[in-house]
Amino acid sequence: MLKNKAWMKLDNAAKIYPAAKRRNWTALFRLSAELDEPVDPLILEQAQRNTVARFPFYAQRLRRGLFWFYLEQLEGTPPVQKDVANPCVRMRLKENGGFMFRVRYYDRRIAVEFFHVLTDGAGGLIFLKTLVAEYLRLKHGLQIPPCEGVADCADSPSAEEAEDAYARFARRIGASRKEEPAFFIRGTDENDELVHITTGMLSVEPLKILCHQKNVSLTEYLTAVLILVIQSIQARCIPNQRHHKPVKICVPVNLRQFYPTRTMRNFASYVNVGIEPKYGEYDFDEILTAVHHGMGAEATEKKLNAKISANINSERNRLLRFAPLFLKNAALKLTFHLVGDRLSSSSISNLGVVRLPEEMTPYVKRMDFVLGPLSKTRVVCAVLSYNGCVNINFTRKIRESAVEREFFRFLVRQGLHVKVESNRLSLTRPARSFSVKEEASCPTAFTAE
Amino acid sequence: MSYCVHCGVELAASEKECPLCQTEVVNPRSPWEKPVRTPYPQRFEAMTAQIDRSFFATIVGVLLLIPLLITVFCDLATGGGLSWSLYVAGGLALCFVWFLLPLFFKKYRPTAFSLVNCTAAILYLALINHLMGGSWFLPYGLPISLTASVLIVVQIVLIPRKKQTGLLPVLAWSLLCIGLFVVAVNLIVEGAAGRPTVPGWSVYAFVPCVLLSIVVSVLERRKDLKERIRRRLFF
Repeated sequence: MLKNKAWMKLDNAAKIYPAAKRRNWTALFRLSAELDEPVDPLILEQAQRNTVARFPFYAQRLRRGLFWFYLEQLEGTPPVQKDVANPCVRMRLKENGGFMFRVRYYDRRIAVEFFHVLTDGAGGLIFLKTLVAEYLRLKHGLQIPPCEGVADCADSPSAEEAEDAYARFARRIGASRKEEPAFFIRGTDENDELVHITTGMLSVEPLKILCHQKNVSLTEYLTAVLILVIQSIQARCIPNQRHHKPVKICVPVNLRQFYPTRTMRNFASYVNVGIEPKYGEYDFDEILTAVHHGMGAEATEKKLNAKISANINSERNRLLRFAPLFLKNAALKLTFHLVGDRLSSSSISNLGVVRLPEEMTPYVKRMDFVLGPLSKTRVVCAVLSYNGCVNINFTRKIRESAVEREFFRFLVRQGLHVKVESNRLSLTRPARSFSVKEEASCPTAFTAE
Repeated sequence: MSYCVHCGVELAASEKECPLCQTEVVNPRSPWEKPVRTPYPQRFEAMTAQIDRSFFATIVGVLLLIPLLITVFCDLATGGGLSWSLYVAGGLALCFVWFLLPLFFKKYRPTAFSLVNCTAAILYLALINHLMGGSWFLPYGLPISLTASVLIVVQIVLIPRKKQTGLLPVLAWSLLCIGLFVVAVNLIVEGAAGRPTVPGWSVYAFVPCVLLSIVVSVLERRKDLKERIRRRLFF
């Protein structure tokens, strides 16, 4: 049984985020479930209370120590909020009562947005599934068994769920983090508060058939499409091939598949996989081969462990440990600025196939995963499959929609049926200083064909 | 059910135009109507306003008046007129132009700001010359500072283009500009002294600068050599 800790150390992955956090940017991601009927906020509030009681390590406040940030246990829960047209814009921790997650609802949708300090996508998904299961139990009196990632709110939290798995599984030798910077997608930056979400929905089966034909996984296939698209954008932006930079995509990898842990805090690493367009233009099959073998070589237990070990070694460095937080903060901020997002052109995070207990599936119609805008990377992509449907969500901080346009057009050319929706209509506000019409007519680097 | 004629994707009922290419949905059988239920609500999370930079600049500008008034007062009280306090006043005005004036503008315009900064510096030199009763400004100060200003502006105009390619091209240009500046100073000094305007001592500085600039430019083109040097000098 978990002894309620008054405070916790940040896990290794979380350490960078408080330092990198800016007034107008917080590293967020969002998971949502769409039900078959409108959400009742009062029941949702109660469901949230029960869920947070089951996962107390999510009710934490970020505090400054002399040497490190730390997490302090909070009582209660944040109020559930009405959803907004611009999800995942920065989270003001003070406005949210210190909590680092927020539950939002709109019509039939329940969404949870997490600050990455708390957890990663896999941990967040368990929280959302449990929240929805608890909501359905309160609303319809369903008896949902604790399986498929749904926890029983009547159970007590276990210490293993709150462990820092990085520290437990890291070894002595770390790998070098040195990498060449990647091509940076440029465009007309939107206001800080404006974020474009474009969702492409397609059936899993035809996409899987395409992947099987090419002998690659779904993540590898979609990563290759994204690289192909960004390669063509770079060719248009920088005509001189000698100045072309590598096109690399950051693919987060869930480390729970390699290690026996039940942690619900951060436990993921990443692989930057890509091509070097300087040497010539790659066709799709060549990119697929590069991605497939790149992932095969990099997404292994040993390589990923070397990556996390390097981070843990830095954390254990005595000089760093005893440096006061304000110095450490400045150093981490600088490191994040210099290295952070510069090593990849974009990011694609695939949470895989989400399964729910049979009792829940008639009530949950759709699930989505949205990455918040990254610090520098202007377009990122999040993928989740549920109920035979793959939902590909692009988050964009620039006006130009070239990346997702070329991405979905490519899938259509492969014979896939893609349905698209966006938050575009909701962003059109007469009171705003710009209009979506203006956006369409704006002469930019990537205009519609 | 509508499809984008450009992208071939099916558009959700909420989409008035294709979110990928902004092509408007034209379906004669069922003209677009705003659906009751949209994927996202109209509610918009507004961010608190940014720190008002011009307000900050105004406050600091007003605070600068304190040392200015104190020095002017002391000057008046001790000497009976404005003399040495004008140096302080000019220096503070220069600080205002260099550091605070850009904060009043939303967009940073390096060329325009550097022109203004150079002009302010030249005017300050002229003021010092006037207060000292000197005669060095027109023959020496003005031409040298004008040359420096032209080279700085040229550098600033070139830097944005070089930014993408890294530090070395900027360094090459800077070395070339320094070499040219030294020659210009040499010629101005010789001319003002009434001697023949031919470069003399400046050649010893100009030649190494140009050679170093060429070396840096060549190094920039030789990526493998650059990488090898970087590896050796890594710390």
